[in-house]
Amino acid sequence: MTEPIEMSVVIGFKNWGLRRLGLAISSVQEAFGSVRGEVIVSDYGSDEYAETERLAKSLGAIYIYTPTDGVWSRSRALNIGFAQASGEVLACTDADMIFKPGSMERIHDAAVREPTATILVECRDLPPEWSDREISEKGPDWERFDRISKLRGRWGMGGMVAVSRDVFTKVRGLDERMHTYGCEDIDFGERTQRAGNKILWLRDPGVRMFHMWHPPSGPAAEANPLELKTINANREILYNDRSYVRNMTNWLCQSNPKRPLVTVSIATRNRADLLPDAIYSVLAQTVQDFEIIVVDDGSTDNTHAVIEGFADHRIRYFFQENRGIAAARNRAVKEARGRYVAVLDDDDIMLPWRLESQIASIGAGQHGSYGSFVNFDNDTAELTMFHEKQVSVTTAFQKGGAPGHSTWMVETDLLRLVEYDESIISGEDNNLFLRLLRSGARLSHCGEAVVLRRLHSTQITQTDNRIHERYAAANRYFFRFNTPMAEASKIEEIGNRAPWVTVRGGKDFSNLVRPYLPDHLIQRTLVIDEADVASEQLLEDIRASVDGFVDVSRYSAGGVLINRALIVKTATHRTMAELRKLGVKYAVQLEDGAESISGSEPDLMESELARFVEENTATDIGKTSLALLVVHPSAFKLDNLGRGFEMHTNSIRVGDESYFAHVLKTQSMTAAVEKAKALSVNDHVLRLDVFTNNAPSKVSDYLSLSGGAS
Amino acid sequence: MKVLWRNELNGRSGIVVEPEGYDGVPWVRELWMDRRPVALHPDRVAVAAALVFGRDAVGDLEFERPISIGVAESIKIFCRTPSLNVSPVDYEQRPFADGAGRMEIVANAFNLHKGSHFQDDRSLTLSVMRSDQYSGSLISSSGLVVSSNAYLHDAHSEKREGTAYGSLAIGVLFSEDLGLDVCSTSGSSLPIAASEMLVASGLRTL
Repeated sequence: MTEPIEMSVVIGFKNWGLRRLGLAISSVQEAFGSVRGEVIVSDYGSDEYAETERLAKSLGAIYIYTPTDGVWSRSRALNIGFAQASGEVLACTDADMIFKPGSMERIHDAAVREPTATILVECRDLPPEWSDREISEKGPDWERFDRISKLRGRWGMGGMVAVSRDVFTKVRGLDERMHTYGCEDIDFGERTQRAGNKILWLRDPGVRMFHMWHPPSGPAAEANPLELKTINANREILYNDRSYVRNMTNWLCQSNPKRPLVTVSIATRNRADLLPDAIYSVLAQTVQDFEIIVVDDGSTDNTHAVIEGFADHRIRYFFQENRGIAAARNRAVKEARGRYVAVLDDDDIMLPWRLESQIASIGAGQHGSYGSFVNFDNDTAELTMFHEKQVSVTTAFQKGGAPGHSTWMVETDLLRLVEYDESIISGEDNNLFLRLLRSGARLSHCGEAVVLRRLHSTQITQTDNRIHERYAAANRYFFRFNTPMAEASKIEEIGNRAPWVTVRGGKDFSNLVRPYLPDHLIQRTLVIDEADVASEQLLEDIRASVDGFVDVSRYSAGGVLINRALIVKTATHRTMAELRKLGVKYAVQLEDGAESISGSEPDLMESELARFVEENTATDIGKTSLALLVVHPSAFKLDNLGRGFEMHTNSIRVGDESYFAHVLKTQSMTAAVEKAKALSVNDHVLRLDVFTNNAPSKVSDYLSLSGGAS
Repeated sequence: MKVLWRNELNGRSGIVVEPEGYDGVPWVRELWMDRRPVALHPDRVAVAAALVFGRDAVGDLEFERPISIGVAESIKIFCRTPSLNVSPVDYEQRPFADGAGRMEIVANAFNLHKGSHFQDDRSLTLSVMRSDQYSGSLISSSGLVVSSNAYLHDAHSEKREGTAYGSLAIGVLFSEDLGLDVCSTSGSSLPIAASEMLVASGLRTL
């Protein structure tokens, strides 16, 4: 059996010279010493790569090639490499760095000795007479390099970063929003620091990293305006994003082994009728890296069958004899594999941005997050927002002040130490929160309403309010016990003065959250961004998963597909969950005409157009019916536009601009093609969509049959 | 990393750290206890802080009051960071904190019937109770019971280093109040570097 790899070194590469790369790989291999190491070359979009692959493999390196659209991203290149890495110590470096023999062994040993350190090495620049050519011809002269090289100093992350695998997965690698050039390594290093690592510049005479001379690339890159814009965008992330977990919604390069980012903990008992709403709301989260743990505390209804009906491997079900909600929650924490536990009551609904916004709000030294919640009446849909303060010992002092339990997200390790008290039968959340505060835990408000909390007749706080108050009083007494009486009023005053957190949506919060009420209370339409339906396969997957949508396809006059939009009417929570699982973004509208402010806001004109099209095609568009959507500025007239067609017109105003939108309907493919050809060359036509319903044949098939170009 | 002492209105006191520069951010940034020690010898505060937070410090480890040079040097060795700069330092030898006798430090258990202030070989118990389960403090002739969040630091350091440094830090802080100079904990023996820190502040370990 092969011994496990101890250290993985990833080199990001793109068109950077084979000789240079070869020297880098060889030097790292020699630098491993007695450590079992591997070198991974992650080639991100080189033009020619067959030779590169041959070279890398001949030197014993693992080679990964990723085709790209031409844009270089060191973050993505390195993350792709790390996804293949096996070592417990992960390091990255560049293809123009060489290491003195034994260096990586010492770096590895330092990383093992200090598992909570981010190890950096100062780069030493070789002079112009020592480029890769000279090093290749003459061989490295380490003693001479020591004398003639110039120490670069502790700028950025130096050119090599080594961390433990645990920390790498905790921060989820380098930020893949960053591309082209700059900041990704500094951002990574700073995030590991926020996650608890100290930054350790290794001062060891046995560790040397030399930069092979080459003509500078930095200034040329900055001269390009487009690249400069990207570099500034990278800096914006570096300076202003204080979170440490990244790549939440799009981390395609997840390292091995997989540990979900979040465990959603649902304790339940005899709520089989309400549980599906809760679970679908989790499945529809913008962050899909989760597991759901359902602890069934002795249900006698069909809860188990309901869970099995989901057939989703991310849902883990545990049954126990009835021991109370605290015991059920402790069981969920015990079984959790996620770094964080997000609590959700079995009768509540998670708003789709909850996990993302809460993780993004967790900064250095914080153990979790919470949010505001909105109560809704299960019969009338009436909404009431419950605001929260930034909780602290002072704000909690007077009333106990635990934020809504269904909004909590807390580090799993902390909840394993400070458990729910199983001896109490009410207010166990309040009790736990005060105990966390007393222990120095720090949780922050994420600035969002994150849960819709259902008010209904079987709710526990409605049925035993007196018991609840008694337990709450006991919790307060414990919390205040050590406080000198003389200081109590002072603390209460400080707590009272603390401001309430303003959440997104403000006074219009109902528009933000109403689209996510249970299906029996509202009707919603989903508008899918056309950019997310870029492939036929995805469209087929959507067709297989989702009922009842209108396919708005935009074709050129020659029948070439330009883009698409989809409208899904009467969409349910299940629909939203299915689409999210497919990675499809959508905007939500209510079918009573109210606009929604959602996590992914549609273009207002787009939503107007979608509604206009829907209104005029829903009832009569059959298998062979076609419709054209034509949009032009109202200042221009399109003569004889509707001749031979059934035409409906709508005026749309966006800001100071006004437009006309026309839907032209016909049964004739020929007429549609001719009209499309004529309009496509008209300069005043801003938009020309040809569409049908989800008929099995595509419009392009009709076009080819009729002789149109495909 | 700045090390500060805080006394809060709600009755708890403790060491609070402010990471800077290359410092790691400690998992929990405060070591709280429900009773403020009367005597707070700067050397003892420094040793307690170093036990719990020292391994996260990289550049400057700055205390509020000058500490002995011996304590400063032992802290640097314990923290294993060559670049660590401990300050402020008083180079003149100062008297150690007073005490003679043994403190048995117990985490999360009452053990007040062992030993007494008034025996010849003085031996007392310090019970460090979890602050999420107990509140306040209690003194008897056999020892002291105090609630603290040291249990979180114990769990963290045991995972990292195999030793519970949180409760030991509480013991160091109360050693002068209880008039003792020996700190002993149950479990495995203390690493040498940690032991040397206590010795540098006038304590002994057994």
